[in-house]
Amino acid sequence: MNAPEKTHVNYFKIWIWLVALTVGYLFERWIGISRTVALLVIFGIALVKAALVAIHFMHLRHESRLIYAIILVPIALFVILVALLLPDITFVER
Amino acid sequence: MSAQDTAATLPHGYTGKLGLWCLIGSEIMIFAGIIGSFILFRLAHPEWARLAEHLSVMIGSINTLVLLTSSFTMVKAFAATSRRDRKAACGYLLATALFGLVFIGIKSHEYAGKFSHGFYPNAGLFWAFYFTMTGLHALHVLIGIGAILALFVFGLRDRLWPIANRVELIGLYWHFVDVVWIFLFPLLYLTS
Repeated sequence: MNAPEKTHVNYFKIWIWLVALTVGYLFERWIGISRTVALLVIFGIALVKAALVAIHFMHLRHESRLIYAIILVPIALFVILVALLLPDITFVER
Repeated sequence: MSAQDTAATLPHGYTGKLGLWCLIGSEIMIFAGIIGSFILFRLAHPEWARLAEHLSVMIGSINTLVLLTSSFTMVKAFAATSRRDRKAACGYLLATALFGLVFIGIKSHEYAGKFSHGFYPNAGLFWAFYFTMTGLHALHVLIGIGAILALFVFGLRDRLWPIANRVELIGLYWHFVDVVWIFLFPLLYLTS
């Protein structure tokens, strides 16, 4: 089993970052910014949080390329699914 | 070379980890389907922003913090298991399960609030998506709680070390459940 001490990851520090980013969501709502910028900030924060959990808590940085392929293929399929259906569902005139 | 020969040449515990990541890959497909559908319909229905205002950002934020903290305690349980610290491992496992139960409790309270206002899964497409996505996620949380409590019981009986790698495996599952909520929260609560 992996020994997390070898990576010298400070889990508490990562948790603090995650909490701070979550508070960042709320901060975005309090300041007046345009909707597009707000959405970019919100989902940007979500991606950073997910990356922090995946890399540090799930120790993804120490995994093999096979593991990366196992998770990246479904994510790529998800992106393709949404991109291909976008014109039919989202932009159809009602 | 037979399948058994191949398994014998892999590092100890790797097959379990590989299997768990395959499970996570399949779970990504499950959630990607419903989340992708929601994104598409949400973009097609800007009026859903008014429906999303019925969701409490504060409750959702608290639930996010609860789940993030449970992820922290789960990885601490894994670290404790790695250094064979049974007391710490049991403590962190119990804490993780309790945080999970708090999450479920808050979610139940939220659901009760929605039902009391007449927002049921059949109240419209937005609510159908909301209850399906959060309900499916909550089901995964419940399964995770059960697995973590099982590990806790093994730890109490000092029978954790023969299955110590399962702390990592269940931890991976639990972190994945957290990652799903990291995306569900802004999609549902923050797009009002």
